[in-house]
Amino acid sequence: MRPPLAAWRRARDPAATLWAALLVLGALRIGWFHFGVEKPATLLAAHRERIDARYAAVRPLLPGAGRVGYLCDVPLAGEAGAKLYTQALYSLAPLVLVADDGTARLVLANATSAQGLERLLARGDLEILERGEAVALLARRRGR
Amino acid sequence: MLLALVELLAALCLALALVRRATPPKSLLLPGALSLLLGLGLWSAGYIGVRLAGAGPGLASAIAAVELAAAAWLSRGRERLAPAASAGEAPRALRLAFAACLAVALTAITEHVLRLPDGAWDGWMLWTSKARFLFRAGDDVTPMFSPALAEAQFRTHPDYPLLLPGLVAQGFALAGGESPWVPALLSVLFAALCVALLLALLRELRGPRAALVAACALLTTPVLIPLAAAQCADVPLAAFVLAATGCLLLAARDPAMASRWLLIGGLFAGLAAFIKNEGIACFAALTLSLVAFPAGLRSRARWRERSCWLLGAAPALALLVWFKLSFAPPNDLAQVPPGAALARVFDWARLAQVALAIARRLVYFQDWALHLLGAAALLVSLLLRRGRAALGAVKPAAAAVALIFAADALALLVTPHELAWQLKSLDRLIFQCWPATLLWLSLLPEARGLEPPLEAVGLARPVAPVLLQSARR
Repeated sequence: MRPPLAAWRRARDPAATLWAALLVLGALRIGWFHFGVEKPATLLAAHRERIDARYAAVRPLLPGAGRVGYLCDVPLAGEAGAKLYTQALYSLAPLVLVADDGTARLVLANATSAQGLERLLARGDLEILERGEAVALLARRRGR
Repeated sequence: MLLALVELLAALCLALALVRRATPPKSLLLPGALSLLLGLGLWSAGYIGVRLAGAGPGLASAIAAVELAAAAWLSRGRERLAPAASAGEAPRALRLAFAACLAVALTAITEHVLRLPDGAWDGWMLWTSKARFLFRAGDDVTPMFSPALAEAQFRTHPDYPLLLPGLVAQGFALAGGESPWVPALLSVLFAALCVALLLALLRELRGPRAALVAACALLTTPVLIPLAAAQCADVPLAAFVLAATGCLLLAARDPAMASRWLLIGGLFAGLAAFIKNEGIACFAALTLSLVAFPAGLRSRARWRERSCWLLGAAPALALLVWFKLSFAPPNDLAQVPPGAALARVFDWARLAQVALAIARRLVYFQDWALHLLGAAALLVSLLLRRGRAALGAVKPAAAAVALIFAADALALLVTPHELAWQLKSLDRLIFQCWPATLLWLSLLPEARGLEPPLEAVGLARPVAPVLLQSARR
């Protein structure tokens, strides 16, 4: 049996050589990105980061289904607002989170920062049931 | 858990019985890969049907019983097909190259799956989120399609078909809980099925050398790794489009088995339409190409064979139509008034923006991996030298992929959302057809007669990919 490299040298086909070069380039690109750009040292920390952790404190207090009001310190149409809203839907499914219009009994306040949460909590018509660093579950005060 | 297992086994039995009717005995990889993919699709489609109907375990058990009965009926009195001819062996250098590419891809995918335990944004937002909804909700799943979700944030897409969420939800049921490994492993399984199917189809249609070269090209396509780890529906859609395209080509190669291959291909194409909205365009494109280029089909029986395709697609299409008409809110594209849509299509600035973005993907198909450029260069050089005759028997597959790209480009032009943001999805759109493109590119009738086992594998026309010339010299 010929050694693979010897067989390759005998071939001398430019198209095949070009194709082989593309495959090698692709493999190198994969290796460079996954073990160069993305540092192996950060892998474990990234693996431990779970979306659910952010909502762990409020989840036990929420109903199993139904509609819950939603408040955020940034617009939902923007990138940051959209990410927080969809993360909350993912974590708290099957709840339907609707932009708070003042009628929902329970409201989830989901902010980009602790300061943002403070701004949301400054509203007087909601009382805090549970709060984390940037997430809080609020209940609408009766009689309002 | 037990019911999910019974449903899975019944779906796999039916898929295997169907595929075994068309494949010769002793061949393992092709029927194995096709029936696993088909079985997964049937498993999810049955589950979604039960959930949409608001029915309980009774209907699920009945569907499983029907599937098992159909499998038993299909396996009864099966006529003996000619055994698969030995396709020979690929050169050692190619086998080593394949092993190296597989090792690189496996290492990288392990890294990325560990790095993204929830998948990428689109993965958890669009697919696993819906799977959790199906798994956690009681009998009533209608709140999942609430227009309030899309009103709050259009990216939630409550109108998206449910095959992948159904599969993940069934996986949760089988695992006895919401393990993050379920969507992750399913996503990797679909990537593996893309590679295995490409390998098996080309081994059957062309020979082991072409199969290994194409599999190496897919494994070293950098976008495969992040998409497989992302838990998005693009890799499953790519697998179903590849399987449907492969069945079209197998039907053209083997007229005696054309009806069976087209029935199976129709099943795959119908299920593709129930994966994503883009899958609907894939089904339409494959069906149109079958009508326009019935290459290889017997002229007298063409209509009967085409009807087999539609018959195969019918169950999944019926489920899709029921879902779209009774549950899903309108898609955001459908909300664009026809006048505005036309104006956008003929807006030269938009056209230029889309064309430029597509041209950039030739180089930036996941940043400087030049596979797409290589494929485009090969195709252009063949078309310039030989005209449309260069496409030969792969015309239906090539036309289907071209139509899918055209539909994608049209959707991008008409989109009501910011175009620059929408164009970020181009890599995913290209990948949906990439394995199928590698399949038909590897079958181009250039450099005919280069691979010896052509007659042995029963290929009607001797074809060989031009890039394999060296393997023979």
